[in-house]
Amino acid sequence: MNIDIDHLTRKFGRTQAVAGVDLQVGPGVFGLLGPNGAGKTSLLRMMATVLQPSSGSLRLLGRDPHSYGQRREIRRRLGYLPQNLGYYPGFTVVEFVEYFALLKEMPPARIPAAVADAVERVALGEKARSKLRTLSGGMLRRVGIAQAIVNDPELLLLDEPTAGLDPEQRVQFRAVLRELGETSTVVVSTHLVEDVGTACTEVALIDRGNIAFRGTPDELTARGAGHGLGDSPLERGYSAVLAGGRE
Amino acid sequence: MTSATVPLRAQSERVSPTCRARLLRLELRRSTMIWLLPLLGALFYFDAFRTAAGYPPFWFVRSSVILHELVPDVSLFAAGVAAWTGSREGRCQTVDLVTIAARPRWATALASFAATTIWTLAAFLGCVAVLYGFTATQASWGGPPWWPVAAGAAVLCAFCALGFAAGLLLPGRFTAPLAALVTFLVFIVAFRVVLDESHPTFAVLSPMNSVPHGDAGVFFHYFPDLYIVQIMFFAGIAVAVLGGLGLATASGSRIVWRTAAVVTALGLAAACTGVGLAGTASVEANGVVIPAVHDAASDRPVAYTPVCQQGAIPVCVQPAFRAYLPDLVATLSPLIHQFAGLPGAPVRVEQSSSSTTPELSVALSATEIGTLVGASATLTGNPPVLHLALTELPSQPEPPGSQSLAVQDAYVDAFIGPAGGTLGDQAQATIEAALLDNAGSLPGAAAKAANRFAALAPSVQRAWLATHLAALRSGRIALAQIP
Repeated sequence: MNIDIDHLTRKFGRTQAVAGVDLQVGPGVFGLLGPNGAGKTSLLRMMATVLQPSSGSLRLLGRDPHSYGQRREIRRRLGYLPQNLGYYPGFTVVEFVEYFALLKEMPPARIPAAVADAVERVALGEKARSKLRTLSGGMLRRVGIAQAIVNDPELLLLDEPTAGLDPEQRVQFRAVLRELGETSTVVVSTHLVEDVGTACTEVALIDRGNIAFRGTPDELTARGAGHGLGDSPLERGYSAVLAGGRE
Repeated sequence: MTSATVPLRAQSERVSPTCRARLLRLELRRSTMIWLLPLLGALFYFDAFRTAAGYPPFWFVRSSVILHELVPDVSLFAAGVAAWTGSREGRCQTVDLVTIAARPRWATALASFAATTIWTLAAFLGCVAVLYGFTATQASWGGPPWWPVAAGAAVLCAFCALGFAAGLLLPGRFTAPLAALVTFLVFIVAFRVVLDESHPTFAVLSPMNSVPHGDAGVFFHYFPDLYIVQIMFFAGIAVAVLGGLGLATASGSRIVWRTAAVVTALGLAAACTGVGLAGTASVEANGVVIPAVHDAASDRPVAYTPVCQQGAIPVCVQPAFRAYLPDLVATLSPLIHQFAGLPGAPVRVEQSSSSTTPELSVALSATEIGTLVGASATLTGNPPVLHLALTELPSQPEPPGSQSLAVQDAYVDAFIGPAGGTLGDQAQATIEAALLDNAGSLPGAAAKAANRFAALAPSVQRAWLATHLAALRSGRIALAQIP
């Protein structure tokens, strides 16, 4: 398993953000669904080695992130798109992506081609030399995705990747996700169920720090049969699981 | 279903130097310091350069503006920009992305710091190059002193490191202006006032107190002692601060932590050694001596072949003063002709260093800007040789014929006045005044003006004083303007 989580918890003061999650994930696109404040971002940040767990164990790509050496190895193979992407306004698109390629310690000879490829994959080739301060919110989101995938990561963690993208870009991005999922483990945290339905091979629904459901999108859809809340079958499944867990 | 584990792809284990170089190049290209270079250039021109241009064209005198004017000016901006760069991750909310990168955060931070510091040093060295290039077109002897440049570079590195650390540890949009303000206060208050009065050891370390002796680099080798200790102190601070950043950002890496600890210890050791050595400093006739780093060879006078101009008697100066020689000969000629043939009259005039000439003559202040204005002299040997020390010089030699009261007075005083540097009696003063008057010097003109003014009615005198008193007090009234 590329992600092996055992009874993972994370507290912020008295708030229990993640309350004993068990999760094993292999290659493919894995969706993390859940309402606001459910603990998706905290779980993702722990997977990204940004946050230390309060308790429990976490193994990524067969390695223990507690050990500095193994953590560094994980980080070389990791791609991460945070929920709030920060950027350097004076950098161009190419420079920003190259900067993170260098921080990920990619072999220098591979960097120019990898940067160009990542920029093309998010359809920003025409804006490659533009300063980030001149880009729209959706374009910046795509720059964030480009920096996440530039090192051809074995573990790609994306927090709300389609936020700010227009419908056409979302469709393109889902195709990119499916392509990446063929060789890597991609975890997508989102509250947009259509992303999960079209791109993910498996999905987990988190509520109040716990996994309330785990299965395929079709299984989640099946849970919604006969449930009235939601515009699409998947949304009805989502609502049904949440409502069931809170009863 | 997701059930398998993707086999790990091979990754480069070693961090290539090319990678570091590319990161540095990227940081250099996007450094904020670039935008401030024109401002620094303008500041240099209006402050340091113009100040230096007002000094005589001697390498060491001109180089004094490096630590006194240029370094404080550049430091303000360097500390501010370094703080701005250091706070970049916090301001731009990229901390998570940088933290999870494989490259240690310390290494990433050092690349940002290096870019800011390289631009700062490039600006500084560019200004020094302009200053020294300008001096090279005017100086007739000697070469550029590099120790003040090295000390200035160390000071700038220290302020860059302090600013950067402030920005990294306390990120915010106000960190940069605060860093610049604190740097300004350190230079204006701490280095100039507080330390000078209360902590002599730190006063020695202050770059603002590195006042070169007037004869250093001309008659005597300049002592690098003070600069060596300043470099140790400021470079030590820079290294210790950067090492401290490594300790703060090690995040569990033993290698990073140990390396940072060693770097911090080395920096602290250098800074403390600098402080310790500064405590042993003593101010000697030709500069500050710090025994542990002092080179005895630098105590010997500088060997040179004097440049002479033959008039009634030879007048010789140190080659650095070559440009002033025609002016000096023209100034002394009327007196030399008056004294020719008298017993004990000098047969030669030689320039001596101001620190080795006994203060025989009355110390004279500047009386006329733009001429040889400060001098003292002594007459020794058989046949007698007049040793003339020039203590104040204009930035440019005046054309021959311009008269200098100070030089002529020193000459006459050495010949007529009493030995031992005491003030002469009334008879000596009268004869000296008469001789100077014969030579066409200012005392005669002053006496005539005094007689003219005394002849006026008291009411006219009062009326003139009432109108011109402020100008008179501020020294803006010429002799010819006196009624």
